[in-house]
Amino acid sequence: MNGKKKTITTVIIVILLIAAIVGVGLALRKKNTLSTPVTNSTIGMGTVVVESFYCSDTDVSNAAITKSTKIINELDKKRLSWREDGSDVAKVNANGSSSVDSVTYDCIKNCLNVSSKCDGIFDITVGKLSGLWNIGTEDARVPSDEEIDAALPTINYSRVALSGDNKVEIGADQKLDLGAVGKGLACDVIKEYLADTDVVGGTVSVGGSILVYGSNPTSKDKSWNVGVRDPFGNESDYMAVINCGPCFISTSGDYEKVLVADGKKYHHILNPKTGYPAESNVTGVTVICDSGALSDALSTACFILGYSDESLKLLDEYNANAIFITKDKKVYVTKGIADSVTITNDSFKVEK
Amino acid sequence: MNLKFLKKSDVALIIILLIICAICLLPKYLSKSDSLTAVIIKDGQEIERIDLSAVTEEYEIDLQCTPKATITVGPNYIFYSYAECPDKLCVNTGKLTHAGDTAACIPSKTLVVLEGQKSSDQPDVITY
Repeated sequence: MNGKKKTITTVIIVILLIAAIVGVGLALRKKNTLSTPVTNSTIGMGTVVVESFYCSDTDVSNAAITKSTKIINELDKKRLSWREDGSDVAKVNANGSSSVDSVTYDCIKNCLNVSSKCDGIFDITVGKLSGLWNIGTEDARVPSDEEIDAALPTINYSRVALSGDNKVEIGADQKLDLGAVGKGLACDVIKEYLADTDVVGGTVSVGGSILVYGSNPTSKDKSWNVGVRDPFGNESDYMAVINCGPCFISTSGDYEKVLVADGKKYHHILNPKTGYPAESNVTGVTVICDSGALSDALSTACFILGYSDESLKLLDEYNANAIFITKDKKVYVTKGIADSVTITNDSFKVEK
Repeated sequence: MNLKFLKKSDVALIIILLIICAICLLPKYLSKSDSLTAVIIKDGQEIERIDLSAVTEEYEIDLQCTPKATITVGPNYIFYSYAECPDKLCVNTGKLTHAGDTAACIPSKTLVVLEGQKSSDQPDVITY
């Protein structure tokens, strides 16, 4: 009788201990995968791509990385690149008109909308001009004034016609270039895909255009911290941090993709009115809003416009916010994110 | 101690199980080191993985790519020291020293990434 009781007690204790070990083990495993993201770096869309995802199942994170990379490469090859024969943009450029995928169509439509609100300072019909400069490629060069003068009249967004069946038509002399919004558009498409997965949260950087997705399991309030590159420092230096929830962030700066010719530096953001790299009071503009392609388009427009009433009005139109960094290290932050931005480098001064 | 329901062998069993439990948890604590690993990627494939915290003397790696590019590896740092491409963006990136730092030579399709535990005050991602 007594012996039997003892055996039962022993069995119960052993079972409880095994349950405790398994429980602690599982809890730690889960905590572990949610405290460190699965991260991957690669080259896509002619730039550096970094994907970082949090999920309790690392297989899901790994699958998300594979799929995101595929989305970026296919978007470039089949939709946006004017260098890839057979892409939507290449077809429109070659034939003057073509039916395109709905992703390309919607993106072009949204770009034309931005152009109409900033008097064409952002314009996707810059293809002829950007093809002359080719900045960011091995064929980069400074075009002659005659070449630029010949290209300028071809730039006019209002001559692009959109019609049923996702058809896009451009003027006979025009060429489309969606290079300014491709990286942000990739972020948009990846966000749509992630919504159908079990990924809890993560970030995707396509050449500095950022998707901030879901919640951050490593922070108390589930928020994210996005650093803003220091335009005067090295590539990994940042001068401010934006604390944010899910959003899209894009930066345009004159330190990226530079062509040096005859001792003069030429950056890659062309002013469609002058034909030359844009010169304004800013060296970098970071835009935060709820669409990737839009954040790209707005950061380009705001960079060309500089810190001005026009750029602030444009941001207002899209409920977007921005950080402007001027050439003399002054920082202007729009009201909507003023409380979320922390300057981490003392040599920059926030102007109120 | 008056353990009414426990025999000596039961106590021994419990202790053994606790030891097994401790052994299972040990790797988690041991893995929390400050290691910094450089991963070199070429054409989308990882070609080399170097524990930079174990490097004592500087040396070079010829990436055998077109255009040509060379990487210099040292104690807790790595950088593109030479590239034949026109813009030299990779060389201008400078030394990579922190987890998450990245340098790329787009023309030669090569990339260097530093892996390791990010410090908590570092941002999740940087926009540029």
